[in-house]
Amino acid sequence: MGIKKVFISVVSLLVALAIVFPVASQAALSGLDIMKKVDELPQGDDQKSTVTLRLISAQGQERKIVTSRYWKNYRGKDGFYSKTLFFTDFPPDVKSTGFLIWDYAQEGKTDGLWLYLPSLRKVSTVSSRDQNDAFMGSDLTFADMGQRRLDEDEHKFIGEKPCDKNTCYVVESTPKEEGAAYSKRIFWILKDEWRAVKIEYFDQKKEPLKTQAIQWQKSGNLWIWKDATVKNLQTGHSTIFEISNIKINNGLRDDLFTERLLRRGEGP
Amino acid sequence: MSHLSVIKSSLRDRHRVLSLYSFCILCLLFFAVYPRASSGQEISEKPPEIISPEAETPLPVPLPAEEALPLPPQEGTVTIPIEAAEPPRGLFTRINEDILKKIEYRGYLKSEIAYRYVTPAAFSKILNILQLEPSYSLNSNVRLSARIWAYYDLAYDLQDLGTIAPMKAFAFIEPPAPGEPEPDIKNLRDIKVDNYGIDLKELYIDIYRSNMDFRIGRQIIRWGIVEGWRILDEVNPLDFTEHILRDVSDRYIPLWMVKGDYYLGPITIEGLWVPDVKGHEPAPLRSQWSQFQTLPDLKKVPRNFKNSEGGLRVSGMVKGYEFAVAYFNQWDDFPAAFRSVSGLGLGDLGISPDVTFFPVYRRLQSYGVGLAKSLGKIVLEGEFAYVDGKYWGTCTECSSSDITFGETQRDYIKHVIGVKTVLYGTDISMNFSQDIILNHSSDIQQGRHEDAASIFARKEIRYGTMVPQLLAISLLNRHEYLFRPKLEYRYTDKVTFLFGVDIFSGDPGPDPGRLNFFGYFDDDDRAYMEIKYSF
Repeated sequence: MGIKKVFISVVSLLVALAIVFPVASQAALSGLDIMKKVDELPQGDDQKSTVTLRLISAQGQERKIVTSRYWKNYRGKDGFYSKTLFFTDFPPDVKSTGFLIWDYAQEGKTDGLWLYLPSLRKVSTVSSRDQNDAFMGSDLTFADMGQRRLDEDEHKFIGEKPCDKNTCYVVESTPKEEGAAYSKRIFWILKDEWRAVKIEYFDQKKEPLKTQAIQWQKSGNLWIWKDATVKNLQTGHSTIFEISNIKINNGLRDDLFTERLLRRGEGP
Repeated sequence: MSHLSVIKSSLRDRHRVLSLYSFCILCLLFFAVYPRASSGQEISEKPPEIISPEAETPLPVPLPAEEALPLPPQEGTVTIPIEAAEPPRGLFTRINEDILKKIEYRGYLKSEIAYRYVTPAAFSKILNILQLEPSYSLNSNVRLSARIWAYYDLAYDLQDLGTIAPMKAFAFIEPPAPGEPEPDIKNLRDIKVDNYGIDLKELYIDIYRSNMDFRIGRQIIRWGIVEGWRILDEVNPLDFTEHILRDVSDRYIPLWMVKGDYYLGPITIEGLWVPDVKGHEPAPLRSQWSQFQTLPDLKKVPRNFKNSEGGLRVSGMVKGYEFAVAYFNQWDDFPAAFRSVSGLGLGDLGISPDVTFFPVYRRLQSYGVGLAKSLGKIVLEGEFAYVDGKYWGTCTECSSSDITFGETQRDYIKHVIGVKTVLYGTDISMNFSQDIILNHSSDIQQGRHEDAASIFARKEIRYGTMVPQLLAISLLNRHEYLFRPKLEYRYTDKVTFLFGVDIFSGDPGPDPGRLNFFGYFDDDDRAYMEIKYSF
């Protein structure tokens, strides 16, 4: 048997093994590994965007909220994860209402929140919201919008399942603490792309509570939400988040995320 | 505030005319100072000129590019490429395209209907308001803003004035002018209420520099940290036309002033110069909310630099503490009611001392500090101020050596402490406040300390379409209360309904000269609704 035959045999064996055990190369991936990958998706240094919320009641009545969002990634620098500034553009009676959030890196330190109400003409320090409170009256909570730390949940890899025309990793995340808002969440994550395209939420009675379907768009080298549709399965209410006018890495200065800009009632 | 009497209100109309006039002048100044307003690439009506380096004589402009023959550049000349000239635009076109089309308009149409359900029941308000808030940005650093308020209260067309504003037990009866007949207290049709009008509420220019901001014009400044209490927040006087029941933006009287903010890292240094001096505006005499009044011989503070008000505020965030330190040199919004008593005479309430008032505005110096600290789900906040120069009314018979014409000067301190939190998705705010007269004597009509407390709760339900809220205020010393439950219902993105009740409770007051702030309106409880269309 010549060297050529040996080589062909080895290659054939490897190909056969790859066919018979297609996930062998992924077998080492745990739920936590996958969620880490999701968590590590690059977000850029800063972002400017328009966030439109469409709140649709079970009867089909629709309300709209349009906000301008400015976000800066601190990556732990100066003790911050990030800072975010929102200004409401619509509806007109709350236009220029501003919301400033300082997300501290220090574990256990609650966010700094300031609210500017043009009708009162002043900025007020706001007490930290309950993480289970609805975010701007939507079907997502502040906790859903924030970055829940990975060590707050147990992540269990369920397997691979088809999702639309792709394949998704399915991970079940169960909170470690008692009395959490959800008994579990199930993430559907695009295989090897690490983007969540669907999240299922279960209430404390382990009943399906809501689903979140996410569409992505590429801006530069980054993947950003294009829209997310959240449907409450128990009330029939739904919220569509649409992200537009995205600009990445604008060099947003630190002094934009202060009371000074908040009081102007509009972004830079 | 209960020791003042008799209104003067004829200056209001003149004031409005002056405000509108000032608005026009400021607009003209704005566009005169910035002739290229909104037109970053403005094309002059006059054709551009090309200057020869040899001769500074302007040369005629060549034909537009598409009509001219290409000529080789001549030695000694500079060829400047020009775009095809646009036809000259008329003044109207320029105003329309450069200014009017770039003005952002927002505002609302609102109908406020209030029904006093205590006998005599009546619709006390059917107020229709159009508010316009135009704004114009010259560029990202300069912005002109205005707020114009037009209103018409239909209640006065549909009902008798005496029904809307019934005579109260302690209501002051204005003495008739010489030669005029005595007023008939059963016929209150001569109440001087402005049930329609146009007000220029605000008009200012914002100028943003790298580390400084300026706001110049007629404006409202809020200096306080704790919402709802006037400890540091004493810059603008208040309009009591509807007691304290109006929204903040309609309750504060805007003033012409210059405000400058200098930013030094996390610290903001704010300076104020207020040449526009005004006191609190009482409700029109004998109107439903008539209570304290300005005295007839009250002289306005002459407008000059020396009489200006001014202040300095340093604020910022250090180590998680939000702080403010403020100094304000102001005129007391309540004038001191100096008086002389000369024997007995026949007054409005029978035989009484013959009193002559000579009210005077007095200077006050206010030194204050505010602090807020977020502890996660709880925010603790407070304000403290020391006020130097306040005059207080004394009892009629008192004659201590430090009493001057019925008034005595005492400094006083005032403070408020509060806590804000969120419980079950409900925003809750609780406050306690005190005014304490230093070196108090029994001659002073007001007690040594006045205590007050409030609670405010607000919750968004049904995905923010319904917002129930409650405000309760108590003046603890006199057992007076005001309850304000209300429900806001967002019908569409632009249409909002508001339903509420205002409940007053307490005694009207010890005597006609001292009317309690809430108790005096014990018979004015009302239910109300508002329909608001925002655009």
